[in-house]
Amino acid sequence: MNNVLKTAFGNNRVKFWVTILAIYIVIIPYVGLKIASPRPVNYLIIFSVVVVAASILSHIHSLVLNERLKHRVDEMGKQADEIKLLNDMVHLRTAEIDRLNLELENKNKEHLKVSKELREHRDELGQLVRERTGELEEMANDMAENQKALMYLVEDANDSRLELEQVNKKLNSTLRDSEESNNRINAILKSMADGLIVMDNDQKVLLLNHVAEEILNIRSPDVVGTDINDSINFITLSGGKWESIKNGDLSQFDFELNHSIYSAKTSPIWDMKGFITGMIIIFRDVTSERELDKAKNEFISTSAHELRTPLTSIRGFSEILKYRDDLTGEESRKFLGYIHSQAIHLGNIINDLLDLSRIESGIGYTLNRTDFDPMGVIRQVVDHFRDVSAGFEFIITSDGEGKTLNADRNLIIQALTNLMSNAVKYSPSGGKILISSTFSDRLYTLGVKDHGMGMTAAQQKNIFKKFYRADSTNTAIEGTGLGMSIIKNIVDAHNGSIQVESELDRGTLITVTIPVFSGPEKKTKKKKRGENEKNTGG
Amino acid sequence: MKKILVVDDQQEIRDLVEVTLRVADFKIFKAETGEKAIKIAREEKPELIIMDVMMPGSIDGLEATRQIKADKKTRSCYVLLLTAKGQTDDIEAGKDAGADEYFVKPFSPLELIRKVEEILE
Repeated sequence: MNNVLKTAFGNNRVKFWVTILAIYIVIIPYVGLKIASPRPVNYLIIFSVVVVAASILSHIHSLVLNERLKHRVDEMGKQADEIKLLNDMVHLRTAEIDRLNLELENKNKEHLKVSKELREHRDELGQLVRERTGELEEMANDMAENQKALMYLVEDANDSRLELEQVNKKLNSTLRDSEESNNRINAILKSMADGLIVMDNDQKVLLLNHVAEEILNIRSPDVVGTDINDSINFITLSGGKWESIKNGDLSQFDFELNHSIYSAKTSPIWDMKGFITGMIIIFRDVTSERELDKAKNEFISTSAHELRTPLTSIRGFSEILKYRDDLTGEESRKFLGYIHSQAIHLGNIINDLLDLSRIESGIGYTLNRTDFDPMGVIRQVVDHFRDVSAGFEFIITSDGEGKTLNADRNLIIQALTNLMSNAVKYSPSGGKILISSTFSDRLYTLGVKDHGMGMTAAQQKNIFKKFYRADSTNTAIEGTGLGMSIIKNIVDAHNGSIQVESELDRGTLITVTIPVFSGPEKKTKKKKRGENEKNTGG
Repeated sequence: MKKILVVDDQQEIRDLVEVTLRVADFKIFKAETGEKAIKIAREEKPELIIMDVMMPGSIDGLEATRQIKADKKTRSCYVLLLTAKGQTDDIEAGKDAGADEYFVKPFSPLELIRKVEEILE
């Protein structure tokens, strides 16, 4: 503002001085003219010089003024720029302020809104709190109720817990029992006397006991878990019946292994639901049973034959005697003799069979002891054999008559009859049969020696076996195969002993030794054997 | 006169068969072993041989029958097995050996003479 004022003022001062200068210029020439030359053309030149001087002065003056003005304008322009700058700044500030204001306003609005929302929330919360409080009160009531119920429940639970503990204890004990019984069952299976193989439905071996390992010559660890068809060759063993066995069509089969016969039985394993889960195979050595079976069958066959032979004579001759009238007296007596001796023979066979059943049932003999002279018994038996056995010479040796033996007379007769019968039977070509009777201090010895076919060492081992016949292929030799086992039983009942000396094709000597006087007996119960007719026809 | 050979290792049975057959007019030969039976069969060519099966020695009744039936000279002899072995298997074995008839002990002499007369008619 000051600048503006100064410029205006300066300009006025310049104008003032210029005016003074112009007046001066005009006056000076005028004056000069008036003095020097009063001619009119001087006047014009002087005027023109004065005008040009005045114009130049005016132009200089205007230039100066213009410069000053320009300067002033520049200053003013600068000031205007400053002002504009300031103005711009003010604008900017104003805009910012406006923006801030707007922001503030917005904030304010927001604040208001938030405040409103807050208020609303607060109200809602209040409502909620009130509601919850109500609910909580209800719940508290319920809880009080529940607590009561809970108390009962806890009591019940305690009871249940005790029960549960007891059940648990029982279960544990049952489990132990079950484990024990499981172990026991395993132990039983493992120690069974029979071979045992257990397999599942896929033919996998599950279990193999010791006996099975031994028989099949395999080891459990090598076989358990493997396919039975690969590890144990039952296909061959069963003689090709394995398929039927696996299907369950066949539950029993025999197989031979290392010269022994084994009987195998199979049975399915059922689970609790009734499904088959596998198969058990049990097998055992039945070689001796099969041998016994064979011997028994032979026995039945030979017994039938043995019974038929005397019956043939009895029936045939009795029929002849009954219907024929062309017989001489001698013939009739001869035929009656046949019938009589065959009836006795039949009786002896039946006695043997009864003795067999006695031996079989393990009853043994009950001795009916009497004191008797064994020579009387020997003569009676030998006389009978002299009658029925042609081609033999019977020689009796004795260390003296009149000595007595305390024994069951009938059983001694039976034993001697069997010894004699064997001696005759196994001497097909006849010959001498020596019977010896010897007393020592306390023992009595009875010996029967033949000169027949004799026996091998193997045959001698078997002679006391039931049904054993030294040469069962020789069908012409009669006998049930019970003779020697009956003799042994009789001698055992008297606490005696038997010795066998035999040589093949040379003959056999059987020696029976029993105490002279009764000692402790196996069976002391007295029993009448009076009905036991051991009449040897002597 | 028709010839009959009686083969049995037991004297009693030979006597029994002989006295049974005495009612008719037969010529009776007797043998106690298989060997002897074959020998007599060849010599006498009997119409009928009454043969026991179980006999001692290497030739029993079945083997004797087999040999008699294998021999042209004795093939025509009628062989009647007379034996205590009367089971089905035994009868089969007898037929296989070539026996013509089978008679089981114990037997009725009356039935035996009827059978013999029937065979020899």
